[in-house]
Amino acid sequence: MFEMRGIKKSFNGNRVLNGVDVTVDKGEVVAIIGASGSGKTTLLRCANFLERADEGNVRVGDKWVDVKKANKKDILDIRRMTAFVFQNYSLFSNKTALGNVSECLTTPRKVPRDEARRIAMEALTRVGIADKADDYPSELSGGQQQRVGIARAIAVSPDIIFLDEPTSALDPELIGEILLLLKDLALAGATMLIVTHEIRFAMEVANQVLFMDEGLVVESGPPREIFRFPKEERTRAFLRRFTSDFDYQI
Amino acid sequence: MVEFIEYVIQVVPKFMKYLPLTLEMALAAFLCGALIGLFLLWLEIGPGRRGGPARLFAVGYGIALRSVPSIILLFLIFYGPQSLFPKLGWGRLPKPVFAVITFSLIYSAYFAQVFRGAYGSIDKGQLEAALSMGLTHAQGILRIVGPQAFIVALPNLGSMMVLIVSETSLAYLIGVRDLMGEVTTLNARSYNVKTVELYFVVTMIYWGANAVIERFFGFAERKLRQGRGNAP
Ligand SMILES: Nc1ncnc2c1ncn2[C@@H]1O[C@H](COP(=O)(O)OP(=O)(O)OP(=O)(O)O)[C@@H](O)[C@H]1O
Ligand SMILES: [Mg+2]
Repeated sequence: MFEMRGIKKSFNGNRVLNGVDVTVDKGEVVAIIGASGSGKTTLLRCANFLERADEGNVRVGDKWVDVKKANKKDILDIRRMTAFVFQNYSLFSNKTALGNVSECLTTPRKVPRDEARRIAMEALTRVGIADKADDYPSELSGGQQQRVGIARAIAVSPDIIFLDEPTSALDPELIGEILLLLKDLALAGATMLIVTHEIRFAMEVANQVLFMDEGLVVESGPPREIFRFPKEERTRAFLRRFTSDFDYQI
Repeated sequence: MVEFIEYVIQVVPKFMKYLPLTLEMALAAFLCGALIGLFLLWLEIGPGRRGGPARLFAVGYGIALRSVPSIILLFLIFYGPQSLFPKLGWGRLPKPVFAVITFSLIYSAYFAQVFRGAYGSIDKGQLEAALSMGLTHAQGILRIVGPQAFIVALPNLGSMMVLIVSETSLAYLIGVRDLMGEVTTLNARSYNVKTVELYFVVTMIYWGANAVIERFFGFAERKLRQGRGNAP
């Protein structure tokens, strides 16, 4: 169970998040959509304290943290219960694919080396690139790099995975396979909060969709409601750009 | 000309035995300087530092040390404490120690710059990824960003070592009997008859030593980059 309550965040007096509430139940996938600059990335970054929100509460599992009072240990606890998949992969370029995954187990979680390698190998197998285990990120394609990014996230068995536009940097022909992988993870019970512009994916996989605009969740609900019968004008305006997407499914 | 070459070849081996002291001083100054340089960088850009006194100190230190001629600092460090606090026994320290202190202090300011540049060249997304996966800031630096920055810094570190080796030749001015000290003494004792030959000999020895050092750093860089594609 993951929750954010009343999250507010300004950059240099410029309000970016205006009191955002998010709830993701265990095993649920929540998709965040919204125009560029609406605060989606900032929200995810506030969830694991890459950015510190000005106000609000974050809850992961049984741990509630008031962002104003959060100390180093609280932040570390939250981060060790969660995982993050980045738009541009952000793999450690001095580590192999396997090293990227096992590093997240050995150093922060004190998993013994051999055990970590075994778990990492399992994760790489699950995302379909076990054969690339010894390659460095510079030797991998974008799709393969994002698979490592996802392996890193699932290997630590997090309470929730945050994904910020995980397919936006990929070539069009690679997007589908990564989305398929994410769908498999969702079906296998992973809890995810994902920022995406892939409407079809959200339609198919998400339990709930949040539409954000100007730092607020303007509308939320099951994907079919949001996409087919949006109540708010702003949601409709945003979705008009994607109407052609409704004709087919993945 | 033949005579010149014969003399040089004959004397080179004699001076080789002073090379170790030169290299020891340089290596000690290199290592201490690098450590202090890292510390300065940490003062400057460590987590949560924005214009505080630590940062101010680091920046001021850099400017002050980079703009004092080494020879002056060497004299200040050698004579200063001795005359101000004679009871401390500062003067009983071996002379090379003063040279090492001087060059460590001066070059730490340059090391800080080299490290800052290398650190800045590494994409910080990786540090954020490390943090997001639960590594502490220190672990992220030590295990992810640091090793990559180190490889980027290697060529500059090689140049620094070469520079420091050459700089240690100033140490004879406080009486250190290193390569330069020996040559200068011998030159004076032989009434400046062989001045050119003698200084040519030391030049060759410094050249040789520095050539080996540059090769070593080049080799280290290639070795460390191996298997990592073109990425640092
Ligand atoms: N570190 C920062 N400093 C200052 N302003 C920032 C910072 N990060 C984000 N912003 C601003 O906050 C606003 C929201 O940015 P954010 O990246 O969260 O938007 P987004 O919804 O993820 O957009 P996109 O769809 O383009 O990724 C933008 O106006 C951005 O300029
Ligand atoms: Mg974004």
